[in-house]
Amino acid sequence: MCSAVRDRPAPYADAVPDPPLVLGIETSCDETGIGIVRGTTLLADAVASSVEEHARFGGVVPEVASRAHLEAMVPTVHRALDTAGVTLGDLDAVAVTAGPGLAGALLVGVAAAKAYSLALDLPLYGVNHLAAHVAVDVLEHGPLPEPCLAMLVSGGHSSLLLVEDVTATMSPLGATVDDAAGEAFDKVARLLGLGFPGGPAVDRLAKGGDRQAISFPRSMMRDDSYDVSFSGLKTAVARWVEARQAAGEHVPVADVCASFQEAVVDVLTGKAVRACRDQGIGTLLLGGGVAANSRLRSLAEQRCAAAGIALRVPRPGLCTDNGAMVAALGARLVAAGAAPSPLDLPADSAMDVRVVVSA
Amino acid sequence: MLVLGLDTSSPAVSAALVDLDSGRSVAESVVVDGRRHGELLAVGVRAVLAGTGRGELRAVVVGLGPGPFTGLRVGLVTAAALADALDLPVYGVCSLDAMVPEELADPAPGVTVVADARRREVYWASYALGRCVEGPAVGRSGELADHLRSLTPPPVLVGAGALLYREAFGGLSVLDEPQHPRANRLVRLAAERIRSGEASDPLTPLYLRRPDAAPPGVPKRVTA
Ligand SMILES: [Zn+2]
Repeated sequence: MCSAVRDRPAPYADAVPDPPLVLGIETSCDETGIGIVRGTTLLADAVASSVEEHARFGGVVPEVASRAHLEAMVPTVHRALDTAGVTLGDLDAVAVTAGPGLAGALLVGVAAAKAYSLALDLPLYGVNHLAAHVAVDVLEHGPLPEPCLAMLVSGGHSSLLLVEDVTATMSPLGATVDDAAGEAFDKVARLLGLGFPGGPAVDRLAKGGDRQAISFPRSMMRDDSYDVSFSGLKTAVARWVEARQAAGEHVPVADVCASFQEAVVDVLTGKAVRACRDQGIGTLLLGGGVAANSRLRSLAEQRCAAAGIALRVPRPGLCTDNGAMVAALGARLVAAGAAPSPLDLPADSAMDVRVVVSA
Repeated sequence: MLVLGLDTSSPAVSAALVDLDSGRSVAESVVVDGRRHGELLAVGVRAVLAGTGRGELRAVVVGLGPGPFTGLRVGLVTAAALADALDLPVYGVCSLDAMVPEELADPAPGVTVVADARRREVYWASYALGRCVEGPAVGRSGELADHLRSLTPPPVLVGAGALLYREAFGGLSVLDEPQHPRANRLVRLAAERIRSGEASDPLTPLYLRRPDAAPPGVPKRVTA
């Protein structure tokens, strides 16, 4: 497809340049994600997950994740190429998550991206995972109004960001001061014996529960900052459940799930909407694995509609970690003429959110 | 016939381009820095490939370890992706094999290669007449020393692990070099398989240890 266009006579080739075809590699946690994007068009989004290997440990084991990334890398790249109907020789650039994330896991993706870039003589972009969560939405909902506000919530991060230009400038407005939102879901699920990962199970059970049944605390809800905290909430849920158990009473699991989930999404959406108002921003974007939560999506819709804020939420498969988001950001960077990263690019487990692409 | 070799199983981040017809190393890059495999390897590969067309390469060879996991994986995924992108066969060789001295006194004694496995342990393998006869395995240096001293004649030791725990290996003779595997040696060890056009290896790392992880117990109570 790409080569056919390039084979056209020169005037046409110059007049109609192909949008860049970018391979995106994501290995910051337990998903080996390989995406292929042409411009703003998603061609393939292949994911190999090691989540089942982590389930019996009750959380992601970094060494297990890193081993799985190594095994999955080349086969997943080929699954993506086959789906996209392109070959490695058609690619224009390689993008990879350089951080933040699990150091050993990131390193597998970064090393693979370097090898593909070196062997195929392609520019390499080591990108910020959080910026990629923002950029992915253009694949589904078109150009992103900038500036916009992004709330990224997962097992690894809970951040509120002001996005002035996703290829260059993002500023942190707030973050969790203790547990990430997804971590709180995992811990409460474990307490209730629901297994790992906790988010989907809590979401499912909450549908049959009463979200007003138990009044769990909303930490930091009323302070001036845009920070959030979930450690106290998790402890409050544990105390409530233990008190019932100690009294030999039945634990209403669905009500606990619904009430806990309500406390989390109440704080998250409350802070995000207030930040939009304070900053005079008309668009809120959600991303990260917790953005797949059905109650977070519906409450955000309701509150944004009431406040006159446009809400953008990628479909659940694009909210969780994936390679398409990295490819989407890579394609934006190529189009913006951003300088590629050097071949000695490090994997940076604590990469600063203000750095979109490693220099 | 040009072959690219890589090894990241030790602090020596090693890349080499070897001409299998002459047996000569065309280019070699070795940087000893056990914390920056990910930053150094691709740069080393680019350096040894400078001036050589990618199309002239015939195979990629990589050290499978054993070695510290994080660094080891950098070499393996790099080899796998390079071979994939260039459509080349890729072969794995036990990294310890590359430290067996090529020339030893005659009659040659047995050789035990000892690498640092951190956590006060060593990776090791024993060789006789150029073949691996025991290992690769991981264990405490003191226990390995007792085992090796019980052999007649005792083997000669080589590798950074033997130098690091020289005291534990007291009474056994330890060579000063080589300390780490080198990629050019790995390529020569795979020469026969490359020439005969064997199929690619699956590149399974020699971890020799399970991941550190235990299933969780009952959640801790927050109330007394
Ligand atoms: Zn994420």
